[in-house]
Amino acid sequence: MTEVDDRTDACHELLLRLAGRLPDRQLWRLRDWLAGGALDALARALPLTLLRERVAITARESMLLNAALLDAGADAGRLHAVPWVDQIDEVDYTFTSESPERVNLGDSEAVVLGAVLHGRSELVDVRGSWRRHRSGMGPTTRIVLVTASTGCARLTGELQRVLRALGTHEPGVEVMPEGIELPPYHRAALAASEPLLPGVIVHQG
Amino acid sequence: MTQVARGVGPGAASRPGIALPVRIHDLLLSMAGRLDDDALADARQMLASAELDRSLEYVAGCLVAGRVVLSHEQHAELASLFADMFLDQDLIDRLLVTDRVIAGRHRFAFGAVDGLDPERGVADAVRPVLGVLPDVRSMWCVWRLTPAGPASGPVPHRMVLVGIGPGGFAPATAYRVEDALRRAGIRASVEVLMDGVELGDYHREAMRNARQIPFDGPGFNRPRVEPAYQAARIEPARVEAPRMAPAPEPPRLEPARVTAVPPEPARVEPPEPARAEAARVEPPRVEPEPQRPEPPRMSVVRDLPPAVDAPRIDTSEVPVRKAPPFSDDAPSRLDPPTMMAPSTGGLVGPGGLVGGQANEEEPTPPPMEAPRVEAVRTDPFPAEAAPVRPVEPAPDEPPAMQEEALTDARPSPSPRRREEPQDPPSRPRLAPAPAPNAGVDKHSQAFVDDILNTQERNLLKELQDELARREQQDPPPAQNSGSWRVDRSGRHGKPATAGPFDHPNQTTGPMIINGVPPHDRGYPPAT
Repeated sequence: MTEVDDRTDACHELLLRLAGRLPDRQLWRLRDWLAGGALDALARALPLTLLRERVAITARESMLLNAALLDAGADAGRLHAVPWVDQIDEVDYTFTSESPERVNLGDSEAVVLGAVLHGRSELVDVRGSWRRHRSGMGPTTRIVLVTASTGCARLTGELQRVLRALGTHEPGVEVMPEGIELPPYHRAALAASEPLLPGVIVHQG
Repeated sequence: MTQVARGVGPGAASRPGIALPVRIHDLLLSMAGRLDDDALADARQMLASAELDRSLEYVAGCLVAGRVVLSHEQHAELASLFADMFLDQDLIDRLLVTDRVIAGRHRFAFGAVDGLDPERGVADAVRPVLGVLPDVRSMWCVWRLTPAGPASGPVPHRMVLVGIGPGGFAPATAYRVEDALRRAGIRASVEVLMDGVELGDYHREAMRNARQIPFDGPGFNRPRVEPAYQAARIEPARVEAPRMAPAPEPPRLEPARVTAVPPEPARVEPPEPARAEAARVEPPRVEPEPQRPEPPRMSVVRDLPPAVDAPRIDTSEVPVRKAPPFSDDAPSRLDPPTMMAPSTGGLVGPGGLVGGQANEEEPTPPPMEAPRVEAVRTDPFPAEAAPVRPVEPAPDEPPAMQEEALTDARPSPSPRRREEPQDPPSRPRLAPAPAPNAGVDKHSQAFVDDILNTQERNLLKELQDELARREQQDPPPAQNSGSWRVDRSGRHGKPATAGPFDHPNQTTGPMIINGVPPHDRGYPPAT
């Protein structure tokens, strides 16, 4: 694994952990940049975004931030200015396995995702969940939960673009590297998830 | 927006000393259709919020990640902007650059898609912001059918094209209008086209299919500015007479304008020799300005107003990019005879937008399945054109497009400006697509022109008589300082600074994240 791959993986994990803490509108874009190999652009934008959105990060996240972006052109002053927090244990969202708004609708997104993901050897699991803010306000958002062995950043970008083409402007795609300790957001999402492609046996990594 | 630099790059070449935000805005315009719409919207939001550096880096990130190829001109402009903002050039050094960007042509729908009209809900959504945004002159809507950029959103995608004058703020207008639409649940990309700036293929094609939204009604609370009329009027004449014979019909513009206007009276006297005549008649008045290349139409429209007010012949010092001739004061006076007065009344009269529409539809004989809205398209003669018009004006386009391009390409430096400038952004260019049904449309077009020309001709004759008289009285007619001369420059007092400009950041209420307003807990406190 090259140094770039290391940085990419570190950055992917960092962006994964920021799910639910950064606005979807910004998060999907940053992940798209990572998938497109624009780590240097990300190195300039992410620290500033964290500062502007007043998002505090954990020690683990700070380590990932430095590992991923410091050598990619990030402003060290900005990196060090991002505040820390001991741990993230609250999730602002609730998850359900079904969307009440789509009970009787065909799931064309799942059909397309199934076609796109078919036969990929790096896939471990593909599940889906629906997210809603605790306050009950806001729209219900589909969260695609994919567990993969490799190429997580690239797969994220690919699935995001597919979902955007299908009408989700700010797609929620969480591609989790196999074996990492998941943050609360993803644990909660997985707990309320169901297989996205029923009847399709995903290649067991 | 105080940063000012040299004008470099697309759209800025002819405008030295442009503010940096405007240069960035122009650069973003040149990338429309090749970057996804959300990227452009976000970049424009940052731009309007005075985050120029962030906006530039954001665009660069999207370009790099999407492997979007730039032209040398675009890249040079981007590099120049990066330098002006003291940003790290390494980021854009990786961009792919080519001599000639070969991007496929985007397709736009004419009218409704899946029963949904492109302008539905837009007027109501933008009503609040139009009251505070200065010098917004026109608004058009169209569905784009093709994907834009490597991370394109779904299609069809709604586009709102806004024409602004020199007194407008393009970045702020783009952001505020887009934000207003988003708050109303309408997703659309807002492309703000500044008067006098040449349009690219993307926007030109969009305008050919777009529908105009009349918004100068009382409900919109805006200063009255009607450049459209001027534009529409001039355009047909220019294109047809002096230009080549093929006569595509750029005039599509006209219908729109006429439509908005409920002027039936003038129509009473119809057929007179068409534009050919107009051109023929005009030459005489060219006398005063012999060297003028295409004096006819320009002079006709332009001089008419003064003619009524007072005999005026010297057209040489028309302000290059002022307000339309029929702006603030003079308009009502002169126009009555022609169609201006009625038009205004139609739009503003009854109930602003709604009222205007109602009026428009009356004259329109029910086109078969023509789009029901008929916002601007609804011209007195839409019935014929509408039915035949295909979703995409394929065949006729090429010639029309080329012609337009030629027109636009002209620097349009001199007072004549009205001729070309129109095409660009504000109105003319906004002309919808040429009707495939050349015959029918031509007829209606000619009909309208005839009416106009007839009236104008009368006025022109009066003017000429008056001129002749004066010439006999006063030997030196050249010295225009005479009392009868009208100074046009003062007539176009545009509300450039009219209305306070709302800072784009000024939003109502707290920021919404992922569709949910912030709550008390917020994110875990920083340590």
